[in-house]
Amino acid sequence: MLNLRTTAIVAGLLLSSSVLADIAIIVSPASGVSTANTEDVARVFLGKSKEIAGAATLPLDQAEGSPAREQFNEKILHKSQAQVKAYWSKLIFTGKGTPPKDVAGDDAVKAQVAADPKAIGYIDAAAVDASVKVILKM
Amino acid sequence: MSFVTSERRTLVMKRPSTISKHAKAALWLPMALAVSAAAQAEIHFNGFASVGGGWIDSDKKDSTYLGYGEEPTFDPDTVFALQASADIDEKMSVTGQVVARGTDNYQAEFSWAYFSYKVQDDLTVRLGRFRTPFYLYSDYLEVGYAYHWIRPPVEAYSIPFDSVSGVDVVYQTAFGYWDNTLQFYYGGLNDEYYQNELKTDLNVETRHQTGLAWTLSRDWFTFRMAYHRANITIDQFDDAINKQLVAAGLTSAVAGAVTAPMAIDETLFEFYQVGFRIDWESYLLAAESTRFEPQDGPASRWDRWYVTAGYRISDEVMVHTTYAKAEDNAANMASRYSSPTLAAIAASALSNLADDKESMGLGVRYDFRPGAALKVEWTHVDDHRAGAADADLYAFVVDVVF
Repeated sequence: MLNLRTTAIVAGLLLSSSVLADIAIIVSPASGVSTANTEDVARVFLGKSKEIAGAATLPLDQAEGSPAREQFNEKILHKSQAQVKAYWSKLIFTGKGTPPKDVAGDDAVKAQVAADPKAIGYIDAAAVDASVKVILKM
Repeated sequence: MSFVTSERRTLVMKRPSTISKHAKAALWLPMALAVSAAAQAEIHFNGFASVGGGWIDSDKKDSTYLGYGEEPTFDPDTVFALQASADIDEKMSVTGQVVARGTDNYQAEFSWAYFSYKVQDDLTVRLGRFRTPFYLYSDYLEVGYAYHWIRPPVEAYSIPFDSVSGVDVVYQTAFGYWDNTLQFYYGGLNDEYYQNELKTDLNVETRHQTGLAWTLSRDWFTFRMAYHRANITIDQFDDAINKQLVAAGLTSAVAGAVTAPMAIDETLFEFYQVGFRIDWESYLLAAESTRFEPQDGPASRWDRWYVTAGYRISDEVMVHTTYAKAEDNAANMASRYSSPTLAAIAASALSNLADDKESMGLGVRYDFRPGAALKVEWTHVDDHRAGAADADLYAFVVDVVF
């Protein structure tokens, strides 16, 4: 197990740190949410729910095609980029929902999440600092 | 049910392409006015398009299927749509969707145009024109990018009048991780459609059209049931049959006696739907069964269903197969005729309007770019009616959303 993990980390460093890095789901330290599971987070980012454990949430996506977004799609939504796009096209063209706003890059997500108690975003786990609270790491 | 068996029509006549641009601009005007009323409104533009082509291979000369003939054509599955929606404030929004279809000679029309009011978080009321929620895939029927097929199987998705004007209430709640949606609407429509067997345009009017659709879903699972009813009038239905009988050699007196009891006038129709979809990891499985049934009259009862399965070979490529069946029951009008001969003529005229066919399809969807998918499909159709032939449809389409 340890071996596998080490191999993964080494491979990650050698190839591209973003490919195998963990992704952290973050909220403001002032948010009422302290922990969440993948289904809670997926429901918020797919527009099916506006809260986690009673606390209001406003999701922020990263840019389509960015490493963080790809990781998030795979680990949290369990969908390919095309599937996510197809999902939203069902809602957009029926007036039943619009996708979360895109925010470019870990730093911008962190800044917006830190400033808004309702905001929820995802960043590379290595980019986490004290300005935000991690509610799930995958 | 008899009056439709609708295949999408292909018009021969072509107009200069500039017309559709102008038509589109004209159609946008009321929308723009409504939107400008709310000075601060944020307007979102979205669009989708499908561009495709295909041809059929059939034993019978001049056969068509879905508007495709033996010569390749590019119109039947081609659609362009542009949507604008504006949030007037937190609770109110206006949405308009203009669609230009190859089957309608690319004349732009509003498929959706409604005002939406969010009464509370889980309750939305819409007023205007929207897609009739008959089927599982009704909401995004024309948004090819949203599903795996080039188009939903036409044997099952067969009601040709698919929009309605009126009021619609959507109630959405969650029980834990389960989502529950109830959609209720009331309205009516006045529309024209092409009746393939009678080879003529028919005008259809529905009154007191109402329906309830219930959807239960969680993550990869969706279950849906719907019930609809309407009083339907199709003015020229009996005339169209009359013409057919006269053309077949009957005297106008006999044809008149046969078609006199055939009026579809304020006839009550009911529609039932049940279906599910499982979209789990690499697998897709969906099935739907519907019944469209007139209370009485010359229309037949439609019983239609399909089952479809797909497998994602990779993030970009999905292979899928679909079986669909239409097994209608021709109307039995014997009690309306005093003479068994007239009843027999009527039965034979109506039996041709009851669909009895099945189709088997194989297809591939390839998401070659973000927001763009190429689809290729082969569909084999067995038409079991007397005088009908089997056909193979080869078609492709590129679906985009933007």
